[in-house]
Amino acid sequence: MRTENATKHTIVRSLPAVLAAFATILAAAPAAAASAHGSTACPATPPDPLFIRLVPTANANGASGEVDLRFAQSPFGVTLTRDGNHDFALEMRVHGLELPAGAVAVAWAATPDLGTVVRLGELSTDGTLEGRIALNKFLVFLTAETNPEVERWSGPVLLRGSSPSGRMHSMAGHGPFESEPCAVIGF
Amino acid sequence: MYACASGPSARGAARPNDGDAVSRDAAGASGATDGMDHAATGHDGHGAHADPAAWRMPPMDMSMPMIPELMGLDPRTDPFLPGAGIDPATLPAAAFREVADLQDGDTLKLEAGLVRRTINGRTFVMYGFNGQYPGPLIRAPRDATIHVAFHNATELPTAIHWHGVRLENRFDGVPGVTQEPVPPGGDFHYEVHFRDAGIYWYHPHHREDITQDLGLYGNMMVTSPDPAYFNPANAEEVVVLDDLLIDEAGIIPYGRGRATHALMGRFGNVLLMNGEADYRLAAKRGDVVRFFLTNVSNTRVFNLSFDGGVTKVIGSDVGLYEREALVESVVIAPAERYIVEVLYDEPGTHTITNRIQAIDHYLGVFRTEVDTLGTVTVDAAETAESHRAAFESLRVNEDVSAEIDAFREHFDRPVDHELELGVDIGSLPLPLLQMMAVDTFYYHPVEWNDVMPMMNYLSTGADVRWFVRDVATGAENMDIAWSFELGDVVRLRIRNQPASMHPMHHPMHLHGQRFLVLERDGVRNENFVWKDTAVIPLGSVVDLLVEMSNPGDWMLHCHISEHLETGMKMVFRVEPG
Repeated sequence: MRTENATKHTIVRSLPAVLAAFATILAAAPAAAASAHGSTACPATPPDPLFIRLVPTANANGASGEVDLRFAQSPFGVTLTRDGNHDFALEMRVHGLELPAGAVAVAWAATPDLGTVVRLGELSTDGTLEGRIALNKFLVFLTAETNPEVERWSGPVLLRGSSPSGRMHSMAGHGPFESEPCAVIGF
Repeated sequence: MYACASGPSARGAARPNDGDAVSRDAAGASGATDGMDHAATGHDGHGAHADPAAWRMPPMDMSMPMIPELMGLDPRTDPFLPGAGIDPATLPAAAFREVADLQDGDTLKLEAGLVRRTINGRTFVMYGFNGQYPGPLIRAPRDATIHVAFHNATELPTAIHWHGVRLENRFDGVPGVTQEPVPPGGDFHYEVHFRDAGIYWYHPHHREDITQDLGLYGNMMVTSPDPAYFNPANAEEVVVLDDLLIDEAGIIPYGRGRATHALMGRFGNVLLMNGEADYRLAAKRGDVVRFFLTNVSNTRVFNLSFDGGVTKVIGSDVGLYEREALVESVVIAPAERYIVEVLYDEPGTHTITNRIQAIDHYLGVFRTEVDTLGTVTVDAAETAESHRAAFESLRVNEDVSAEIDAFREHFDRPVDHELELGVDIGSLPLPLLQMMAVDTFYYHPVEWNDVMPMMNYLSTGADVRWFVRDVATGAENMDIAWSFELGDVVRLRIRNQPASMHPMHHPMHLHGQRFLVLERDGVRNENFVWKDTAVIPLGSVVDLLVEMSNPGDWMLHCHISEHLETGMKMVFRVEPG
């Protein structure tokens, strides 16, 4: 099936559902204007576009982590690749991670379809790592490896998170009026 | 991409990326051959048969379905286009800019007026300084003082601001702060003293969302007495980057009483270099071309690539970098300037492109947008004089570092003042507010494209108020009262956090002074250059070290024209001491 046609049909089929949802929401919507000064019509704190929370898998119960993104150093106020991808320096911090004997934690970033994988490096003994990533949407995850130089992960996934941009889901296919950020469950 | 507009920038195909499962045709600019049922997505209300001076739906991406409740809505102000009631044929055809070489004491007559401009074979009524596009290139030596006898022959009050120049305050050109607006038919005499070598620009500071967008801008090149200030180069090009929003009926009208596109600023769909949609340059193999780039657009941040060449950045707003650096592309926000050198080593025709990752919030995907702004034809014949060696040695400007050394004792000083950036949104149509609430899934640190054209177009100063807020006092915009002494060095923190209904990046500009971008998100800058404009991405905290070197009342504001018009400005005072 051609992806392009499938996409068109999906949009057209879902449009009545979207409009119906609209009508429901409009009927129930509060009349107050949205304002940054305490209105009920908008989220209290929109998600930070430069922060990733790492969520543990069953292989790392009790561990946690976070990743701060900032634009990599450059002569410009914003750092991009030639193709326009945001070029981020990242700083990872992991807490409470207990590794199996002989294993090291290696950090990776990958496109959601795992088509592009970037090895970010080995987590230091103090649970930190600095790296660089220039993908639009990406997953960040740590795996337990016996070989610290491995070029593609083979061990179990320990913690995972997704880029803030990964929250940008299709309104047509996801449920346009859900306000729960999927980041709380890792994606 | 903007399928309802005609007269394209040469936009390349939208390509899926990063695993986004969206594949789209390269939509022709006219949209007529894309095979889509425009009516099914509500896109049958665009400009094909519209009154050019009336409100109409702006051109937009055809894949975005229209919200029925928004169709038929207009911005809450009357529409405005220049030259109403005037036969365009009676207006002068705009000519490409001339160079005004001025010495100390010289006078330039400068007139803002109506012109006819031809872009992509279509003729529009626009504005120009001295009937030119861009406005005359003023070239003067450092330390010179020139006189500008300005006459306003437009139908709107205006004034001229000399952007980046540390001139005498009373000539800064800010209505309500340093002067009254110059009325239609009125005159004003400016004295412009050039304290610093560099590339600057001049533009209106009253309804610049209209007048600057329609062509009232020009550059000033202030030359250094040091013959070795710049590397040797084979050619120099002073280039203005801009965009214009048009459809089949013409230029999309502006708001007469207040700015439209108040949320994100007006993104154009035709990208221009020096006012042309098809900039052309000829070079020889091995040529080093020095480009002085100025972004005069209302809101667009460019990511400019000089394909086929090796690019080196050497300077910015108010001087040279401590160290030159090779770069893949030049990221330039509204009002910023960058000086780059490009070594063209490969014969052939090479493009100058804008490459961005646009966002489609409806589908939740990124897509690559490539716009070709111009071409450089490199002849196979070797350059007459090779400057390759100078190009390839990344110069360290020790004099720049030495000057900055005097300020390094302030690098770790505590923050003196802190600003927060945000927006208040009032009575926009309810469907629009609901859509914006949904969009809070994700905000991009920089808005590279108009992600919500209809919502953006409908928002005016009646509905949207952008603000700068003094964190210490809670005062906002023109209620902020900062005062400094001449000679003060001030650490100013600007925080752009996402706690508002529609946060976005802001290019912040300080009048009359210069600053260093000290830190971004807690990381010290490694290569300084004096600036007057710095982009603050969403989610970032940026520290500026400002040298208060010029007495008077000076404006600090966002340089997205529509944000300025809807309140995002303040005035600080520097006492003579």
